[in-house]
This record gives sequence, structure tokens and C-alpha cells, in this order.
Amino acid sequence: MRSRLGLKGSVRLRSRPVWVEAFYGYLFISPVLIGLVLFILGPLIASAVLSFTNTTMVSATQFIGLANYRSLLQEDDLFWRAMRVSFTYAVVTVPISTALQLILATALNRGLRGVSLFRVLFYLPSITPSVAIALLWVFIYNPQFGLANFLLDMVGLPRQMWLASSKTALPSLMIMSIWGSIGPGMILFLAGLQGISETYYEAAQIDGAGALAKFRYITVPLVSPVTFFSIVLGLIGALQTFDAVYIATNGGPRYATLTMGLFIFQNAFTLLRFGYASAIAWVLAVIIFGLTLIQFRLQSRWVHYGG
Amino acid sequence: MSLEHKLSRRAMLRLSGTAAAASLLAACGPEATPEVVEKIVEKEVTKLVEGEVVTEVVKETVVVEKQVVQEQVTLRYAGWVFGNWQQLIDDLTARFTEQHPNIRIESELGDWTANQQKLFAQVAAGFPPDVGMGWWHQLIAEGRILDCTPFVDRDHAEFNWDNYFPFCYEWARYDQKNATLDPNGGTYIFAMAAYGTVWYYNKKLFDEAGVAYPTDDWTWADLLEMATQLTKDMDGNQPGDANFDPANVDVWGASGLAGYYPALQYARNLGGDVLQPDYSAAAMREDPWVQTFTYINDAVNTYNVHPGGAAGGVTPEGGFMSGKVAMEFNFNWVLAPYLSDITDFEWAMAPQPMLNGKRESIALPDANVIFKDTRYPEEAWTFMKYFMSEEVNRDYISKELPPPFQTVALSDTYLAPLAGHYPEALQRAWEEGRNGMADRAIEHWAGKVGDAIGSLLAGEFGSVEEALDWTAEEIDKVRAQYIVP
Repeated sequence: MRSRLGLKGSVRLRSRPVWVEAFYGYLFISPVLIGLVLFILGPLIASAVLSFTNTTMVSATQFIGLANYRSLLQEDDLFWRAMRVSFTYAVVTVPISTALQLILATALNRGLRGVSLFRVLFYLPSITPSVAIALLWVFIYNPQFGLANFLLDMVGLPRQMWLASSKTALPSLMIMSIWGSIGPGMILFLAGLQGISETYYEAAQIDGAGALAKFRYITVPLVSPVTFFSIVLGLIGALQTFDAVYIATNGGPRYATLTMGLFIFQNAFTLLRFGYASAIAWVLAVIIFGLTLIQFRLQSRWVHYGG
Repeated sequence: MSLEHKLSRRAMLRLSGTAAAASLLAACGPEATPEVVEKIVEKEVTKLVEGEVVTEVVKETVVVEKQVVQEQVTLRYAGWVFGNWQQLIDDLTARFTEQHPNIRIESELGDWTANQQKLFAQVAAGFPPDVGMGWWHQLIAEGRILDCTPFVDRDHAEFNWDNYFPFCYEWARYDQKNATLDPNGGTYIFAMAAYGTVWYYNKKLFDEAGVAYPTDDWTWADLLEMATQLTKDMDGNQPGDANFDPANVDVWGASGLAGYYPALQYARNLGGDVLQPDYSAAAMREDPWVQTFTYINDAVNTYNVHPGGAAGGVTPEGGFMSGKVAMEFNFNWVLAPYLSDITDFEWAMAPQPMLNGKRESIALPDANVIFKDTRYPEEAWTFMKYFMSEEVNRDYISKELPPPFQTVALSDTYLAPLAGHYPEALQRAWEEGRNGMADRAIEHWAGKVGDAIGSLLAGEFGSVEEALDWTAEEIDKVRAQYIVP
């Protein structure tokens, strides 16, 4: 007896009904699906609904239409201030971080002695809890006994107030952020660099290209997919920055470090304006989505795949 | 016959399951507790009246013992703790349960910020604790805190406001509708620790500089003059000397001025306050505040006797305890470490300085409330009463000086460890102190005042007036949002 597949004897493939296959498929992915619905889609939908209400979550809730959006876009100075702080933070930290990640990765990719140790050292900040890092930097920036002022003293420069001054607080946070983000990006760039064939460099060398030219015309274009990835994720992360700011300055002094993430948190959990906070979160989400879309549209001009 | 033959494995499992279920039901079920109750009974009494035997019916109150069933209740208590408070509250709740076996307390304790945010999140989620310690005005205004006036009225015999410092009583009464303190409002907030402000001074530094100690009637001008005499840089130069270096100061004359509380005290001395009396606007642009900010800015940036100025002078590590600060404004919550850790110099307390012939002093309590959603208001009130009892206050007193809130704190027992440190200053702060943080959303604007002072001292505002304009605008935003809904 032959089966439909032409197999002899007792060896037969029994096809299960499609619905059984589907059932098992859904069964196996159900933990993820349940998590997605409960912890991502659910809150997303809830926050979208809440953004049209004046809910404080502890008193009666009213549907107020677009009033939250109108208020934050037209009347709330702090919203625009937080937006400005977040964008300044992102525009400064993302390019500098990305450039440093690439430069460090290139340096570590040259087969120097002790490279593994350096890779570990540079990666360490990214596996340290962000709260611990923030606390460490708060100590470094302490105007009284912090390491930063100690170093300034050593080279004869005037002491700074760092996180305590509205002029220096945001730059201080940017330094923290750049320091903490180098490790993960560097590992990605290292992986990208190791995928570039040596033949390109050999050919360039034969043509008389120097180290800088090789970096400019071979390395940079061929790791551009990693650069693109790093910039997209970096920008999203920078615009959502929360934990370090919350620990180090809580938005002060005088809102100098009030990021959008912190502004949302303060409205929700300090001021109990959950509806308003949801509206801010959605505006931020739309901005991030828009920026990411623009980056994807523009990538064809500078990202080279398949090198 | 052996046991194995009598009891199969299945039977054994069944038996164990039944026993476990029975134990569980017993544990969760009501507990029988004897209770003494009074009862009015009628009885016939025979007596001799003018030589005749007369029988009459009289009513008499008798004590009968009745077996009642009390429900076993678990209350959740959430609060913030620091220092030895965790142990204090653990002991307190354990003793309470000993006295009230049917009420068990589950404590959820954390630091201030975590506790406050967790409480808000729990309230938002519909899962608040039964009793809690934190910052309450916003939740009262939202109608989430229980008005305990009926309990207070009912139990007035065992709950006497006269035993409490005046500001603790003032703090308790609140007008829920207008979201402000009101002596005729409901009774919501019950103090569990009372803080007053004093000036701590380092006797050794005073003696070395040959400066007389502060007295009861010293003034804010005296403070500035003393601080000028006490401040010196690393080379021994003093403010006013040609070579004085404000960026490298060895001994600061004063510290602790650059914040909301000392500023409010100074402004109140001049008749000022944060808001207009009718809450219609911020009062920060008015003259008392101009004078206040000017005084603080002068102390820091003109006289250079206080850290935090544009010149970059900073408070030494350890502050007053470092022995490099001659006078420090602070609350009595620092008393415990000062008493135990300062060993290399003598120190004492002085009351707040006077201005225009009067003295203003800020005081504030930590406080508990009962949440409206509690399923056990009666038990929660029982716990609250215990928390506020003299027994607990005496316990505070016996344990490394946490700040009690009853006048029993003025007893010799409490003040004895402070002998030599002029405890009368603290006594005055408790008795005379006025609430420094009482209105809804004050926690939001107090930070703005502190922010403005910090930036003013760092030279980030062009003038005192500019700093006050900024502060008034910020406070008006908060006021518009919370005080005038």
C-alpha cells in the first residue's frame, strides 16, 4: 500500500487537520501573546482612551475630548520646555555616542594585545543597573567632594556646580549618558567591522590609500547599516530618557533637565494627572514614530547593505 | 494490624488534605474572644420603710461576661521610615497585636519617595492600605481619606487634643472642599512625629573666635554679624579682609539658610507668606519676600558667610558634624545622630532669631491617615488611637530620640539627654511652631522656592526681583491647578 507521498508499508505521514496545527501553534506562542496583550497592547489602548479624559485615577473621570492635547500643545510651557530638553539631549548625545562607539570599535578591531579586556571594560557600564550608574555619577558630580571637581582642582580649573546648576546640569547628564551608551553600540560596531572583507582594505592599500582614507571610504560606508541601527535606537532611547534624570536631578534645577519621560512620570505619579500624562505620552510616541519613519525613508541615501 | 494496612496512600492524602483545609478554615475564621459587657437589669428590692416591708422594682447596671465572636482582621499599614524607625514601627505593631489579638498589622515600609508614589499607585489601582503615613492633602482633596471626626468625638475621653503640640492639632483639621487647613474642617491627619526648627551652634568655634553664644532674644542681624566673625578661609582670612577667598573656606559662619523653611520663617517674621490669605495668588513678589531673598543672598554672596554662592564655596562633607560649620539651621530630626556622633566638640541649640521684636518658627509633623476604602474603619481607628497614644510617645522617648508629638515629650525623661545642649530651644520650637507645609500642593511649590534660592545664590538670576518673579509664576501655576480647581 502506498501513501499519497509514495511511502511504502507502515511508514505513513498522517496529515493533521489545519486547525489542529494552528491550535498547537497558538498554544506554543500563547505565553508571548498573552504578555503582549496584557502588558503592551492593553496599556497602549488604555492610555489612548485615558488621554481623552481628565482622570486622576482616584476621583471621578470625565471624557474631555481633545482638551488634554489642546492644553499641552497650546498652554503648557513645561511641555515645550521638556520637548526642548529632550531634543537637545538627543541631538547632542546620539551623534557623539555613535561616533565614539565606532571609533572605539575600530580601535579594538585592530588585534591589539588585551583587546578582550578592553571590550569587557567598555561593555561593563551597560550591564550595570542604570540606577547604580546614576548614583555613581551623582557622587562624581558632587560639588563638595566629587571626583569631577577634584580633577578640575588638579588642573587648576574653577570648580563647577555640575548637577546643581541649571547651566551645567543638562551637559552633565549628557556626559553620563554618552559614557553609559558606548559599550553596547561598540559591540555592534565590532560585529559589523568583522564582517568587512579584508580584501577591500588590501585593494585600497595597493591603490595607496592611507588609514584615514580607508576608514572614510571603506569602514564608514560598510558599517552604515550598524550606524543606522544605532542611531535609530539611540534616538528612541534618548527621547525616552527617564531613570538617570529621575535619580540624578528629578528634572531640576528649575526644569533644566526636565525630559519628556520625566515630565510624563511627574504628571502621572506626582500630580496624579493620568489623563494628561497619557496625552503627553501619545504625542511623544507619534513624534518618535515620525522621526523613525523619516530615518527609514532617508536611509537609502547613505546606508549600504550587502557590502 | 499495622497502620499501613489501615491507611492507604490515597486515604492518607485525603486525610491530610482535609486536615489542611480544616486548619486553613479555622485560621481564617472568626476567633472567639471573651468580652466584658455591661447590662441594665430590673430586679425587686425589699426594704424597710417606716417600719413596713416594701418591695419595689429598681433598675441596676450589672457586669456580665459574654462570649462574643470577633472577626480576625488584617490591616495594611504603609509608611516611610528612616534610621531606627523600621524597628520602632515593627515593635509598635507587635505590641499593638498583643493588646488586640484580633487585629494583625502588615507593614509596607520604604523610603519617602517610594512610599508616596506607591501609595498613589495603590490608590489609583483601588488597593490602598488601611492606614498610611505620607503626604496627604491631595488625597484628602480627592476624597480618598476618611474623615475621623465621628471617632474623635465618640472617643474624646481617651483622645485628648490638649496632649498634642498645637501645630499637630492645626495640621489635623482640613476643609476637604477648599483643600486648605481649617480648624472647623474634618479630622483627617494624625501626627506621629513632630519636627521643630532650631539653630545648632558649635561652641568650640565660638570660643576660638571669642564670639558670645546666641541668646534667646538674638536677632537675624546678630546671626549675620556672628557668622561674619566666625567665617574664615584656609589661610585664616575673614570676610572683609582683602585676601579672603570665598571659594576656599575653612569654617563657615552659617549653613542651612538656602531653603524653603528658613526663607518662610524670615518672610513670616515680616508678615509675608507664600500665598495671599484668600489663596487668590502667590504673594512672592511682595516686600517680605524681597527682604527675605535679599538677606539670604547677602549672607551668601555679599558677606560670604554661608556656602552655595557664585564664588563656589561649598558645605564641608558632613555639614555641621564636620566641625567646620559654626551655626546651622535644621530640624530636630538630626538630634539623634548629633547626640551620638559628635564627640570632638561641644554644641548647643538656640531658638530661631527674632525680627521686628517677634520670632517665627516652622514646625511640621509626619502623619497617618485612614483610607476611606478600608473595610475595617473601626479597627483602623483602634490602631490609629494606639499610634497616637502616650504609651507610644513614651516608647519614642525611650528609643534614641525620635521626635514625639505629644507634650509628654517635654518631660524630663525626654529632655535629659539634651542637658547641656539647651533643650529649651527645642521646647520653644515645639510650642511656638507654626505649620510650614499645610496646604494642598505645597509639596509642589516648596521645591520651587528652594530652586529659586539655589539659582539666585549661584548667580543665575539677574536680581532678587527676577528670582521672585520666576517663583511667583511657578507657584501660581501650581495654585491654579490645585487650590482653585
